[in-house]
Amino acid sequence: MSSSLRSLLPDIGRILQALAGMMLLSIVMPLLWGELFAIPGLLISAAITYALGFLSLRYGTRRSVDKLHGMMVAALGWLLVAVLGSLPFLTIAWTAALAPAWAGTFDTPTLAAFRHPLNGVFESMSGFTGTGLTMSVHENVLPRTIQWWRSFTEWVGGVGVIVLTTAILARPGSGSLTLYESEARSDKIHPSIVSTVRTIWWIFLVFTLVATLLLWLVGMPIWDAINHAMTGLSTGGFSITDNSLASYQEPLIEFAMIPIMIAGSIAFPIHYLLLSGDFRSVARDLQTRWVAIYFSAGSIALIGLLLHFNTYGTSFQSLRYGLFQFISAASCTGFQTADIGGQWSVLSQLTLSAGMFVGAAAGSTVGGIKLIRLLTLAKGMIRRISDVFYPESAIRRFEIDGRTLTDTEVSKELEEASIIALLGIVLLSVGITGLLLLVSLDVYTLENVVFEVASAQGNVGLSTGITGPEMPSTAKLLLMFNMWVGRLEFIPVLVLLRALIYGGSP
Amino acid sequence: MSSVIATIVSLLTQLVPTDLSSVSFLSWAGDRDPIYDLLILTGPLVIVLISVVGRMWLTTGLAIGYLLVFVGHLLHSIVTS
Repeated sequence: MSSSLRSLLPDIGRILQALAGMMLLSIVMPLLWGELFAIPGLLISAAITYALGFLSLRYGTRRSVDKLHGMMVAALGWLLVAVLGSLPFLTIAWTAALAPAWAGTFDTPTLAAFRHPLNGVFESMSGFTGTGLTMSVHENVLPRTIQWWRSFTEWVGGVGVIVLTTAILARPGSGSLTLYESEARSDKIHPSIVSTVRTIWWIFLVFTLVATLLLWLVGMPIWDAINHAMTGLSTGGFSITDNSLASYQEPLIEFAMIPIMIAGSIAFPIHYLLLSGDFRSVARDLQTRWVAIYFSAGSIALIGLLLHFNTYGTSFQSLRYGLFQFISAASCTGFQTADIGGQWSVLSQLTLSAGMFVGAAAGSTVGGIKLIRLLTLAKGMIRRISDVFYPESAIRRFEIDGRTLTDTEVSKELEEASIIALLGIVLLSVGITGLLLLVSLDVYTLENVVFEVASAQGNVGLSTGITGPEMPSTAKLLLMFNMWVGRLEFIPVLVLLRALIYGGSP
Repeated sequence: MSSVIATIVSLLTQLVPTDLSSVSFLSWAGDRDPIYDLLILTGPLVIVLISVVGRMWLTTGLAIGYLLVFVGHLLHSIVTS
């Protein structure tokens, strides 16, 4: 094994141990619900994951953490978490089929789909990346333990696997900042990175409890409220009902979910300022202001399109579905209340696709290329055009998010935003082309395919019906790749692939 | 109504230790606002109570109270900041 790969092992080992901890913690669920057949599955999964983590720590060689190392750990760590996070799906699907009657059998065709390992890996990748595309045909008949595991993966994945590991296992000064930044995060709440990630969890817990009780008060059963609060706040979008939130047919629940999804779309440092009462700083924050503008403008546009094409009979229905679906798409949550693929016009579908591609605030739980990059690109473009009208000797300031940037910083910011946006478009195109070759175009249209790939890459989870256990394995692998690169904002995955092909040398 | 909520919050705050860092998770999470710490401590208890006894006036009242404390404290923090 090459030395650069061995140097990744200690950090990978800690991530796997944190994952094993999640599995052990989940044993509470089968005990509470009397699903004894699920206990061996969780124990086996935790044992395998912990053993691999232990071996990684034992045989890895520690070295200083630089950017290359951080990106490779993030990319490989997320991939392994998705693969090993599928073990509970696989093992529980088998133990449910093989368990004696006294252990509470729960075998259904929906659960049986997870006996195919690829379906479990897809579900796990979708969960940890906070996407929400699913291999479950009827989520409501899944065992509670599996329902919980799906929600738990999204809840943890929303904040970040490395954030979890850093919060639990990191020591100050152990290179946590580099790893933290490799997981598509940059802003810190406190000077210490360990303290920052622990505060992120503290904020996340407060909001999850509040969201759970809010959803229960508007009519959800408490188990549903717990799961949907976890998956709504993490902007993941897994549901435990057969037909996502459409199952409830209750506008009040949909309207209550909107502030929860919006909360997930705002950066954690901003939440911290808000909880501390510093509303002035929150109102001044560029990203938060633009999230408000973007969500409002997008919702109004979508409602307008639904009204224009007379998709629904009444204005209230257009308002209800347009508002909910745009927030759900742009926040990259993916809860679905409308028959988008079957009932909506092409223009409405493409408006949602654009919302999914962009995403909301960087530093939150959302996917997409992020609003701040779009703003940087737009400002950079305007600057380049207006530059022509000024004399060459003119000194012009470039301000973004309250920071005045030097020329070098402007170039760096623009370059990063351009690269991310371009990679987003390139990988989206690759996904669309691949899926077009793999699905039947007699059943699905081009806009359906664009929508599905944008949904996977933006970690949204809205579906036009293409995703399911019956889709070709290659298509599953393709969408999993889009979810993986989308969650880590492309570059870490490409760095890992480059290092695997050409080695770690420059 | 707001004075009743303020009294309840004040009573609840007095019921828990002044130094909430003695509770291990809160100590782990660092030095934070005591009201939010209190919400983290009591939230799971309210949810467990709801799971056990279901939807009734007591649990509905507790859930409403919980949300009012959260929103009230948030607004209070913003106003006094």
